[in-house]
Amino acid sequence: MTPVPMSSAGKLMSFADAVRAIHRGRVLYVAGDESILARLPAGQWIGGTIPYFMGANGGLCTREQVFVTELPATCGEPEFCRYDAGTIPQVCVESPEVGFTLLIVPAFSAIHEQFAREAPGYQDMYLKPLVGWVAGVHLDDLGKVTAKVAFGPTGELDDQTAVAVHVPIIKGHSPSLQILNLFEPGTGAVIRFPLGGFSAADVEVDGKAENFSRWLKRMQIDTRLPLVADYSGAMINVSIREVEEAGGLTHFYAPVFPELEYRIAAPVPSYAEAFRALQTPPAGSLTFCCNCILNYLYGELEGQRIDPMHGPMTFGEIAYQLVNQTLVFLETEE
Amino acid sequence: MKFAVYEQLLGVAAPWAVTQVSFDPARKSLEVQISYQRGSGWFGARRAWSGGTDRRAWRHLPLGEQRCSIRLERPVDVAVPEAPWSGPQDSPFTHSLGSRLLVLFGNGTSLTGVTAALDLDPQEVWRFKRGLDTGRLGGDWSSRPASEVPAVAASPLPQEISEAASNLPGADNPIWHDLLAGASRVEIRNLGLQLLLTRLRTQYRLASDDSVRSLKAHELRRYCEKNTRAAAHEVEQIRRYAQ
Repeated sequence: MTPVPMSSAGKLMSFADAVRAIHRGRVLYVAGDESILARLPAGQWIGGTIPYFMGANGGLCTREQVFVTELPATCGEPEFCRYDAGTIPQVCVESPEVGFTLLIVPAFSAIHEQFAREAPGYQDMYLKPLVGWVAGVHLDDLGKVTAKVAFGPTGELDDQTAVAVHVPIIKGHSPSLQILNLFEPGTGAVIRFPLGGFSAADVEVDGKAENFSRWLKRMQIDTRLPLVADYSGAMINVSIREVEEAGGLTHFYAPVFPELEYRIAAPVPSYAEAFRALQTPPAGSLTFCCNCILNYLYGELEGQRIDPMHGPMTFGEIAYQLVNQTLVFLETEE
Repeated sequence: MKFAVYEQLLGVAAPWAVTQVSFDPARKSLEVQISYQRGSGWFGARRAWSGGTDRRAWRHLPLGEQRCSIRLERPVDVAVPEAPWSGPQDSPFTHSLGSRLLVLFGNGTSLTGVTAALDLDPQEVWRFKRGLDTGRLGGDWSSRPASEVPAVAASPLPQEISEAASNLPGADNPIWHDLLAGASRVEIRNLGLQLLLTRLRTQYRLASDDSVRSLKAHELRRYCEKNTRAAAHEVEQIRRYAQ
């Protein structure tokens, strides 16, 4: 299949330029600080809060600009939707037969948790590309403000629902959802989580019962490295959020599942170099791209360029299901 | 004699008998009570038993335009019969209805489609499918042979996919089971297929009977039918190794 050159995948722009883009009537998805999203006019767009980006000049944090991606010309008439924790299981059913769905979910909400836990079992999951991201906040604002999504047709912001756009693609083209994951399973112990979930205490390490927090501390594991599970050849990460003291719980940014085996990832010396070394598509074929805030922080990506993979650096990425510390992108190919 | 017609329609035979039928025309619902008969009394009249009683209920295939439920009543020392009109303990549906659902799922009918076609409670259908996927439900769903079940059209496929689908190995080809069992040489690069295969492999491993494993093979084949372009690398290998 041949990537088809088309309009740019996305770029940072000022509030005024974003307003002009909305008034042109194109279908957009927008990432930016709440202070800007809340002032954008109603129109054909969806968005989510986040002030961290990978742009043409490298990684940066800004509350003054928004990242705007315009849907390419090969896309048909989109359908804008909102979902709550009760209706989100229908998101793939409502996705077009030939096309994709872009979904934005607010971090630390009930719908975020529902999606993280249950998405692998949603009806029609994996049959149609579902891509997107988890909206977040500036790290200085953690605990003070909530992450929000924006429903462009009404201009409303909300921290409890998800927004989506179902996009059909014209005949002769097809979407391709892919990930770039820096992390491979390390050579250490195999870890299983009998109960699954966003937290764990008692786990199995190479078949032996252990308290996970104590084991991490005893082995002096660098908890910036994610857990990695092998999904039939796809390496999927679960990032470690917090390790409680004195043999308490370990908390994650995505759930672990009891049927899978995990390993701590092998270290990556330079995130920027590693991303640049991975095969990336020509810029013209990109329809969507996002990366993880943890890669931005741990990989010290501020000021570092990863062309052409520009987009928001988010609180979680959606590549069918929730993933962590992963670059997710969607191509449209002929 | 009073309920002989219902017994014939449902295939109920001694020592079981239809003992009560309730019909609600407003709700288009028919409830049929089937009870165990320890023996007949004067002039063949049916006699109920005394002692501990177990009662169960399942949704059954529709009778005409009516939703049909079966309520089974038996002494606690008598096993639940393996009959088309009874069902497993954890299932909301009888064996007959469960078999029908398996065929529909195997044909690619969605949960929504199944619910609408058979006028079922979506939650109960979801619970049933979840039971199959996690291995809690299984056992013999073949009490009603598939050939007796009228074919239900799956969702119509776009023309280009229909044409490609005919080049895929049939769902009964061992290649699909090899993939699910992790015993195939096929290299998988397509992300959606990798994630789906991981889920299906877990369900395949937990499956307690061949009908559920066959359902998983159908699901895997259907993914390849719908994604022949995106999964071209994998589909080409599947065709090659299936020969």
